[in-house]
Amino acid sequence: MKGTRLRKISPYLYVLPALGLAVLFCYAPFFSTILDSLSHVRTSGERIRFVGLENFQKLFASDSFHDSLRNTIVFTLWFVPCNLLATFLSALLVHGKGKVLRASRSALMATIAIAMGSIVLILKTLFDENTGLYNRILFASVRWFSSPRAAMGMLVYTGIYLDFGFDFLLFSASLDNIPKELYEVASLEGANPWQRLRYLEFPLSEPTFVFVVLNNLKDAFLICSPVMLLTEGGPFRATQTIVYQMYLEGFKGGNIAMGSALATVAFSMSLALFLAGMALQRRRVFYQ
Amino acid sequence: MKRVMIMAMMLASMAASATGVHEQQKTNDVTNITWWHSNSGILGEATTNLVDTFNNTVGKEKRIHVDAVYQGKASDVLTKAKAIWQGDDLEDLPDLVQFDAQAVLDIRDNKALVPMERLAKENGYDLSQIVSSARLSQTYKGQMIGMPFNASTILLYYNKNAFDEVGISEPPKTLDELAEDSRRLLKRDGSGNVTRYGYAGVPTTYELCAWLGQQNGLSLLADQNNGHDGIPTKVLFDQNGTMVNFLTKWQALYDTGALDNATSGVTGEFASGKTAMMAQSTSALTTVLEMTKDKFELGVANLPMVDEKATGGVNIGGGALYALDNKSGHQDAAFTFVAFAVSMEQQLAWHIATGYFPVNEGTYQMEEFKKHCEENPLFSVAIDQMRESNPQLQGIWVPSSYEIYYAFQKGIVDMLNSSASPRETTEKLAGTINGYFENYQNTQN
Repeated sequence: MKGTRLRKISPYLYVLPALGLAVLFCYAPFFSTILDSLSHVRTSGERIRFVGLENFQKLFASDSFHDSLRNTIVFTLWFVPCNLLATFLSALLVHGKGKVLRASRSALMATIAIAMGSIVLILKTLFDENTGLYNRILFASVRWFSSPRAAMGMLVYTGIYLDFGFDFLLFSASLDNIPKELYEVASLEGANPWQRLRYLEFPLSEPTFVFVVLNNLKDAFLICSPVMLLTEGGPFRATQTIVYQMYLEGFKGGNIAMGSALATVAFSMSLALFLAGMALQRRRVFYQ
Repeated sequence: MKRVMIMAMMLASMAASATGVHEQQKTNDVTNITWWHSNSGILGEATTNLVDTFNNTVGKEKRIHVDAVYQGKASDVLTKAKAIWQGDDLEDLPDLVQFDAQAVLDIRDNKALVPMERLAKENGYDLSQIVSSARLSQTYKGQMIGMPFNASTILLYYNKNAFDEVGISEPPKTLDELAEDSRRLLKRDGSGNVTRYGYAGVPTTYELCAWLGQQNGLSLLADQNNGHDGIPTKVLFDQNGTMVNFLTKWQALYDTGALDNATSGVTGEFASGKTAMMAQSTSALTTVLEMTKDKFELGVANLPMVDEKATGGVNIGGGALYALDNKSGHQDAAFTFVAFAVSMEQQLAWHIATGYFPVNEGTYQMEEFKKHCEENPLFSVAIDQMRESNPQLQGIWVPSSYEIYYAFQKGIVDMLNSSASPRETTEKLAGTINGYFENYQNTQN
């Protein structure tokens, strides 16, 4: 009798440490952020009074937020497709056997090995308008830091650079996992490379595609650190993203309520995107 | 038994060494002062020199030893200090910390702050030897909260070769002249692309403190004495007409086609000859001289006045030393070092090494200083501009300073790129910034 009771509660005991940590570091701050976004909050973090949706009303009416929202969407629309194309094509290009291909694969993956901060600071030097390498290569004097469009381009490039290694690894692995027999069938049937891609490699990589897309959407919507290191939101707020604005309001400016409102907005939007992505996946992805 | 003996011996030796250390400290009786700063490069060397000189002279005599700890950029120093005082572990705070203007709102009402004026009084130090505009730049509710240390102002830098080339003999004195000179300095290549602009830069908080504050002798940007008497509740630049006046002049400059709206890399652009003028801090003078010495002759001049009535000059920016109460009871020793650091001799050495202004009035009377000015005429232009300015002209202390910085920058560029009038732009800027003030008030009560 005692034994069965213990057996009944023991799973809960096993879960308890993990659940406790999740509550402490994830769920508690999450609900506290939502509460903060509905209140006036002191710089020290103490809630003063409940104000309903006032913070959100102010936020949605401000130019700064309109800029952040537009920049985040523009960034996402450029970053996700460009990144998918770059990583998938690279994976296809170096897919196969042989020393050269293997070495290229390692080289392309190596970008994961450098920390984000270091990469961004190196890119910042490379993009320098007067002395940077990129302007030399392009034989141009692109105003990477003074022109809003160029700055966004630079940020997209940086974003791709940061995600490249990992996404490339996933695509490479998914191509490696396609059974050899299928390739044999394809060559027996006389499929050309395009048909092989269209009817074999692409459909069988689809689960990876979905994962990479969802992951990229999340990265794009929550992008902040590269902005902090590269452009600080400039020029003229052209690279100020929602999460960077959250950092400015909440941490630099000490306005925790407004920062929390921005965090809540960023969360709701990425959740909506994620759910949409999941729905799409259920409808049409083929799993082997 | 043997084991017990060994244990006992170990314990005894540990106890002996422990008391030994203790006694050593007692006999030496040196007060250790920690100073967090953000000075690297040339500034870092000057800082090391200053601290070494102190430790080997006054420090040795009075048994005070200063440890200067480089903590990264000015904003990193603030982040680290903030982490400590938000956690209430005040013992971990340094005795002295160097902050720039960004930190003022965090430090001025902080329970850990020991106002410098109070320390000066307790130590019988006469504050009138500190340059008054520098002293006022650290004054909050009538009290000097930090000791001005690395003081600078804004300055006009120009390319003398370019000026000679188009036959301009004098640097511009007003914004009208700036526009006219820029128009003449503008150069295009065969296909119409600009190869040299007249002026590069987008005015934001830094420039506007001077360009709005100097108008009509002296004007305020925001109430509460530009935030020096409390958190501002509203801006004043929309009511006193200074912003409209400035924006009108700025639009005229832009209409010449010779204004480059560059937000970063301006110094590099200037050094490579892509723009003939820029406004920059006096603290950049050493660097700019270094960058341009093989390329062209550098000229510097007073920041052009908005118009003939804008006689207020420029305000002092830069950083200051703040004393913190970390419960060590070392504040007086810390002040001994501060007084040493702003003594006339040390300020001379600091000025020569870094280009920051001496904050001690005594330095300006020293023969060595006068000689140094004669030998370095560019530095003396910067100093004369500061000495001629109205000491009451002060920078603004505002919450959400980053957002306000970008609001100015974007507001001005939006005006230049659209048909919005200076009046509309002013009203929009005032509305936005007043919103930030209001939001900040909501975090207070």
